[in-house]
Amino acid sequence: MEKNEKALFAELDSYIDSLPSKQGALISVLHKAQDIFGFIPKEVQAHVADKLDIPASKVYGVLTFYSFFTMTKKGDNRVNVCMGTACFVRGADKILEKFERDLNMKANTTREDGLWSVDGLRCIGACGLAPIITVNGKSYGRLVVDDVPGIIEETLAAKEAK
Amino acid sequence: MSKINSREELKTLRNKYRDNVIMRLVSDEAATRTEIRCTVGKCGIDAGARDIMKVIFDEVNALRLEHVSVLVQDCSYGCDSADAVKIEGNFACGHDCVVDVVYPGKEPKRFMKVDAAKAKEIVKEVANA
Amino acid sequence: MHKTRLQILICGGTGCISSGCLEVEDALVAALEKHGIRDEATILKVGCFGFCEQGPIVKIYPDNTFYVRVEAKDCEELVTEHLLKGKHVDRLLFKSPITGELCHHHMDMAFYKTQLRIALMHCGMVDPENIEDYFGVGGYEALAIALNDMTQQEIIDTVKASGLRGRGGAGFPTGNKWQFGLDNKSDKKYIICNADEGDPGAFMDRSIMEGDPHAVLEAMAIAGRAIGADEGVVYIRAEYPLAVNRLNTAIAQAKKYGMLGENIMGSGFNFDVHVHLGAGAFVCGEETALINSLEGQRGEPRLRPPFPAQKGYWQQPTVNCNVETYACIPLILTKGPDWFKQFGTEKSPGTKVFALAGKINNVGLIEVPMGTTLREIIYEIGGGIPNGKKFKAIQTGGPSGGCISEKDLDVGVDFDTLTAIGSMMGSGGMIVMDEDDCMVNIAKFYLEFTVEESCGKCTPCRIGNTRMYEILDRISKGLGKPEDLVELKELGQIIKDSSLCGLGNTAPNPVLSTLEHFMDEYEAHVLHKKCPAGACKDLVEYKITEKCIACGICAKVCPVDCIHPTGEETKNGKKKYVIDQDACIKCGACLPKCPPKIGAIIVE
Repeated sequence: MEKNEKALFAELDSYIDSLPSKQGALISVLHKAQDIFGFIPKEVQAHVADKLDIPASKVYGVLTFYSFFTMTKKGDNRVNVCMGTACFVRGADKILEKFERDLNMKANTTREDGLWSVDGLRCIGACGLAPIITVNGKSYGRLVVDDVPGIIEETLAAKEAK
Repeated sequence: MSKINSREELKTLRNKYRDNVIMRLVSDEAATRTEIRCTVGKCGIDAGARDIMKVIFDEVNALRLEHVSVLVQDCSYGCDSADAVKIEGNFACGHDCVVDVVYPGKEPKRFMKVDAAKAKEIVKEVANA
Repeated sequence: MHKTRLQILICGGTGCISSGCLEVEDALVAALEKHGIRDEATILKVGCFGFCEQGPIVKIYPDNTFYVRVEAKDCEELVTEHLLKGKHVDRLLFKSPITGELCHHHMDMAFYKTQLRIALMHCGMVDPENIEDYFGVGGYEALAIALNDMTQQEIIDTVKASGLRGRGGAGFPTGNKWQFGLDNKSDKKYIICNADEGDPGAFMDRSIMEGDPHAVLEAMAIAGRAIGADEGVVYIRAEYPLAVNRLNTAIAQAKKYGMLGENIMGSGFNFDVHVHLGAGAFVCGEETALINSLEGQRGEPRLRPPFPAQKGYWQQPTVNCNVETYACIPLILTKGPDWFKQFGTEKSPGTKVFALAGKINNVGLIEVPMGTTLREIIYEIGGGIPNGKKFKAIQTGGPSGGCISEKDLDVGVDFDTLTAIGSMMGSGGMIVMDEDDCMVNIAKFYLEFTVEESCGKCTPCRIGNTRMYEILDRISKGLGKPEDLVELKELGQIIKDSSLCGLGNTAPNPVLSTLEHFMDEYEAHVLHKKCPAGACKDLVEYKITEKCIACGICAKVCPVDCIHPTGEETKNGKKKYVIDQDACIKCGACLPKCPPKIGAIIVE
């Protein structure tokens, strides 16, 4: 975690303290925690359990139930390949495989150097643009496999420019 | 804006904001709307067609003619080019400004040499039609 | 009256934002300013027009011209030609793929001609971020009627009389649901809007919330008044940020005008709505699982009874309806139940919104009267199958539904007919598949989804579906045995009969319906170890035929370097290329690289 960890925990605390009731608030708190930290590691889970006065096992149980929450840190560049049915029948699996090959990594993981995460995502509902992916929040629609190398280059160039 | 406290107040707001959406509501019903088309070719614009269009638009608004759309169209006389000749101060065709009125399902009715006063008369005629 | 001479509507749904509508808006503003007519036009970002395939869409009023696939660079021409001279920019008009005619108005297009918009009536028409537009089209009038002219029972009777059935999937009569909510007495009751649209390939509810959020809020308040609830919750997917934003904006505006909050329109009725984010669990579309999730628990379904209308959210009577169901309510109250009933079929009145996607020319959001045939939907509205391919199946109802084959295309779609042919309405996703799609592979895709999304509470669903998936996986790898097909059918029926909730009850549907309609494909996999569609990797081989001219382009793109010039000599005396089958990973990269006029690479 980052050096300004204290500030991040303080931000989470002030959110929890602002809630009208702690009853039933766990999922909202986890959303906030993931917003703040980018992922929800053990220390954050334990902290949330303390603050809400519930067992840490319950926090873990809820956290792992929902696919939106993650316990591992994501890469600097985040590729999300929509795997909804519309994208699937228009070849999303081939796009995902191409990313795996070109980035030399497995889908749904973060590459060891921390530079890339590639995930297959539940439907994002832009079926008119199938197959569609998002890279660092930017959408690329109506893709073919050959577009992938260009997108990787573009992403790296954009990071460099920053 | 304060809170709406009764059904009547809601009605007042609806009538007020109907203006926001009336253009969209009416345009979808092409069969019942009347179009006033202002010709805005190059000669037309030089002769003040855009001002005439604004006069018409303002007048349609003032009379609240909901079923009337004000549109622009290109010149249909073919002399709308850079070297159009002026004849006695007028343009080649001498017709500007030109305004067409199209009632639902009818052929366009053409008005020529329209000035601001005539423009208002055209709108009145549409209103009374 | 009109504030400006022109109104320009830009589709601002998620689909069109992904295809660049925000850049179009900026470019349009710049072009208007450049030509000094910025003050003549109002620009509005509205909800989905439905024709996502052709986005971004720009609609110009009062001309009522419908431009498609507009890019930022087109805006200058739109301003100089259309807005200044009234000339259509033909290249941006939709061209009918059948007649080749240019369509100026949306009603000229086959895509729109047979559609009928009720739930989507104001979607793409009003500015969803401005409550004033909604007032202008008569918004909140239905709530005024419910508060002033009707008793609670009269509201419910009206909804019952309309015959409205829940648009979330099962088609339960909405009026009856509300009646249970009213009959169960309590000081505290809740209204829930289920916006956890988890079906892959479905975007109906998202589009309604993005395009007409006030209709949903108004209907929730009406439901609240009908059963005596003062609090509403919208449970919405976190993956829909734009819909969440627009809902929150709409709630704030509704509160400001007193359409939500205390003493609404001076009636003494109080009703508040807040938004609750889901966290990505398909099972939360099931209402008791959704309620658990709302309470901060794992989204596991509860045993019924007690039903939510008896003991729901925080153990209080709770009425939960889907977004599209709510969107129909205001019009049923203002126009009357008979108006609503004139559309659709006798047992399924009204319309249904479908998200049409997959191998279809006109991908988009459509709304048609119940009873419209699948053939009309696919070939008229949808414009048929792209690239001259042959239709194979249409899948309805998402992971809970089934695949429908050519022979049932003339069935008029409603809740009961779809169930009768082994599928279901579901929330309204429709995915079209062509000859290149392998039905075994599709069944496996859906089952993989349900296995992953099963909450694990009951055994038939948790273990049964996993076993089914394993069998399908074997079949797709060429390791299936004939008895596997019998086993699949039996197991599927057991899971359907014995699972706790709707997810398990319907999970085997994609497998059972494909077994029913596409047995020949299963047999090809099991008996002949072939995948007729060429989609199951383990059963296909990429080969280079004698047509090869030894250009070597395929070898260059092969990611595992398994293509080498080692075969017989070609006509020009070079060595023909050969694919090493042991090393080939069947990625298919070589296939499109072989020049079409050569066509030496084949899939077997």
